[in-house]
Amino acid sequence: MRKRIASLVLLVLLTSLLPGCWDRYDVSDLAIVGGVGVDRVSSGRIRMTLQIALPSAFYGGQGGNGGQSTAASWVVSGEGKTVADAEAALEKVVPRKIFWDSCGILVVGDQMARQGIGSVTDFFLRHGSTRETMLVMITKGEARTFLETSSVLERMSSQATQILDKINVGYSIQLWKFAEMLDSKGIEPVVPWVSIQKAGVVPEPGKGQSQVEQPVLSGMAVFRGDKVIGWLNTRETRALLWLKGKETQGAITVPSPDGSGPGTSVKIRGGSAQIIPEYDGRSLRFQVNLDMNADVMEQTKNEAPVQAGTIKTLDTRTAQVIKQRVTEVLHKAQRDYGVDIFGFGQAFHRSYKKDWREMKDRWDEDFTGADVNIAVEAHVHEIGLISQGAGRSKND
Amino acid sequence: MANFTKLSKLKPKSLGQNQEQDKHPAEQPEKVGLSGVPWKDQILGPDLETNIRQIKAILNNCSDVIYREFVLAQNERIRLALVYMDSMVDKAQISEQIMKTLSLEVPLVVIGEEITQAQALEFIKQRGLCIHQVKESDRFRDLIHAILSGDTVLLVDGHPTAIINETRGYESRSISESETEPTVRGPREAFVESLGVNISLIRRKIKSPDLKIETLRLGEVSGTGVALVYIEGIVNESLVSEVKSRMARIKVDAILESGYIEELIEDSPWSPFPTVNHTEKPDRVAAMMLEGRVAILVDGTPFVLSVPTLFVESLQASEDYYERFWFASAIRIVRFLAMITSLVLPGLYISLVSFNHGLLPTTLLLSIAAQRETVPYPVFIEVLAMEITFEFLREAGIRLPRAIGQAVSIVGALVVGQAAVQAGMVGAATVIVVALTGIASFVFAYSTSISFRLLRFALILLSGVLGLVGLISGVAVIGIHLCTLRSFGVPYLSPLVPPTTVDLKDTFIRGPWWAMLSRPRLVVKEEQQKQATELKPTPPETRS
Repeated sequence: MRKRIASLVLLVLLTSLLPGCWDRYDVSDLAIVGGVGVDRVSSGRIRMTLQIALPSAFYGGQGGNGGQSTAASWVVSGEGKTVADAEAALEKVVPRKIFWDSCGILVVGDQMARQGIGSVTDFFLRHGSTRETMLVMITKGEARTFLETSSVLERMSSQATQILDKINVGYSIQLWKFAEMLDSKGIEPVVPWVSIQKAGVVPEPGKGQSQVEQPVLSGMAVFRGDKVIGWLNTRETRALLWLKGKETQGAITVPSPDGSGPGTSVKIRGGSAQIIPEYDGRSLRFQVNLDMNADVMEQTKNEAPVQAGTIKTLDTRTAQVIKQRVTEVLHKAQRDYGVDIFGFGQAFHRSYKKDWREMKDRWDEDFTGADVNIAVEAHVHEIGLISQGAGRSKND
Repeated sequence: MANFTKLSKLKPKSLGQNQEQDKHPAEQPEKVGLSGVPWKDQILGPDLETNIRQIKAILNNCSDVIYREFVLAQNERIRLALVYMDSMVDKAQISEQIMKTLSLEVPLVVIGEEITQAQALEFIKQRGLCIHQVKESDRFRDLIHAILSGDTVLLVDGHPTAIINETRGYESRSISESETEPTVRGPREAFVESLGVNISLIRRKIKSPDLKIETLRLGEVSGTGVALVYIEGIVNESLVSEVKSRMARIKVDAILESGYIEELIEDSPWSPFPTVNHTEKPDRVAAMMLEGRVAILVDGTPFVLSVPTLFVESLQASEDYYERFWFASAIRIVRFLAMITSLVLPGLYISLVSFNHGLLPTTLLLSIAAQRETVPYPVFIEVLAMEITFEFLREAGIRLPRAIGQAVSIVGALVVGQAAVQAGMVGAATVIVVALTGIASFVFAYSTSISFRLLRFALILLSGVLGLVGLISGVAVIGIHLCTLRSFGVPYLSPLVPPTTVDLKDTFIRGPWWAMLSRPRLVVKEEQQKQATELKPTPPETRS
């Protein structure tokens, strides 16, 4: 009995050695990818660009000479007939195992995006090592150029872009969500449009200044199917977010209650949006109810400060501005692009299941012709504790 | 020099006695007695000379035995002899309370009366001895044992019975603060090496006639005194008989420490986990017994065993019960976290760094990758080497004289922590992991932490080969093993497995005293209320 147990233990121990640390890669054998870009180059071939992090730039200890001057990434490209081909070409160049888990963004150049990015999403969804939570972004110009830019506060442009996503200035789309929107009818995808902007300088003692380029969010790219057909700027993007009932940051300036001065800035905190479809068999109407919350952010000194009495006026004015902005983006979608980027179709589907079945394939036309009535209610909540604008009494 | 003079005083006496024996080799009684009976079963005869010769034969070559012959003051024909161990007795007591009274003072008490030889024994016992505890015996086994324990045997000529006087008086360490279980709040005294003192320490905690102390003698050569202590009415009777039967099995030459007994009465001798707990604090032993456990005290060691033992005991410290329950509960959770850390952290680190990188946040991954650029060995070898280095340091810290221990820790910290990392031979993260694991293993009970130390290496191996899969299967096997363990019939993981909801009040948290109403159900085997139900203090209804 004891011999049998001993041999069993030995067997287990020895077989555990047989796999020989299968699948083992030390972290120092990995090429840690921060972001990936896909472009279509002039010859019709596809180019994949990787932004690979250089670990020593991220190490604050004594071993690395961490400082701003250290290069943080290595940007390398590979070309091929398909996306997979391009990846295979990259694997030949990169001397380590490409580690995809850390890859946070997928940037597609507009050249590629206009011709359709279905093959790109297909590749990354099938890949197995990449994450479906990658943020999808479109850039005007080449994705490679975007990835080649470094960032100042963050070390890599891919990191900077992920942070932009977190602070709610725009509307981010993860890969899985994008794929889901591609497949579902009644809503067309919109994807963040990022670009590189000159932003400030870094003064260096004795060397003068160096110009800083920073990845920024420029708006949204509008899709029909998997092809980009147009763009929304940041102003329109904000209106789009209001219409979708998403939380967003940013202020708008509305005429002040007493009509004087350049206006009062209110910060829109977000609110709720309700889309109610009405369909009688022939004409399609939508009632959109927006209920927005806002706070007073800034008043110029010539205005009478907002008080309990004037707050209602401010509410109305804010609502008017919001309504105007939402109408603008709605008209752009209906008339210029002819795609439903708001999800009106989904709302219609929920209410009129039978009618949807015949309308879903020609939804874009139906949506374009639909009559949309927008009703906005705004509530300004915090008017601040300042009853007299700062500096006012001195001047008067 | 002082020692030498003492020895030289001893020597001539004992040498003389040995020579006396050598003069009569023929008359010397055999160790295997006259009628072929081993000396242990022999009984005393009426003749003083024979009895002394018999004792001398048994205690042959024991130079510290003293034979003092004298006569009773009342009747000089009555010869007496004292036999005792010079090194074990309180000499002042012997000379004052035995010798002086019998050879000088007895006539002052009993005037004029002649004591006959037949009356002598009874007379001496009743009126002649000023000793607090005397016993009678006619067996050599008892006499020899008494002499060896420091008692004094008084032989009376013409009587086949001896009087055993309690005269023990040997040097023992005084009660001091516990070094292995120090506390911030709570009694500081710890057990000492003397069984008698240890029993008194317990008795002082529990002044109840229900506190039962059963002594027995274990070890054929050492004859070590062992005491089973329990509280009748609380303890489960079948547990006591189980402990007794397991103790009765023990047939060894010597018991030098309670660890001997621990290994001889365990339920699962092959398990890495201790199923018999030990402590050196009387308050903890008292608390254990109040929860229905049996304590086993062993002469010669301050470590007292308590059975049955539960796994959760390694999370408990006596201090938990003296601090307020909020703090005590928080500390319990900290200990639990430390326990998990000390078991899995190195394995987890290896798995994450060499197999499952995707689970690390990118920034951390990059930082670790940067540290490891210059490290020559795979992380598995690195962690293993560092863990072994840490074990070196730990062992060196315990074994070395205290003054040098300081130097070891400084050198260890400098060499391992600083130089190795700076030279790029070891990643800083590895040092952090190993140090954290080391610290965590000191947080909970030492006996369990030793088992975790061993198992940690197994988990490091498994993680190095299979990554998280290996780590988790290792932890699963440990978990299954823990579920199968029992300590004196009580499931080791209780009250967690099998779940006993009421008893969870004293596991990961420590419930307030007014809410802990019952004793651990699986230990006492029935529901036992230990206090009144309405104990929660409330402010008075009306304010005066």
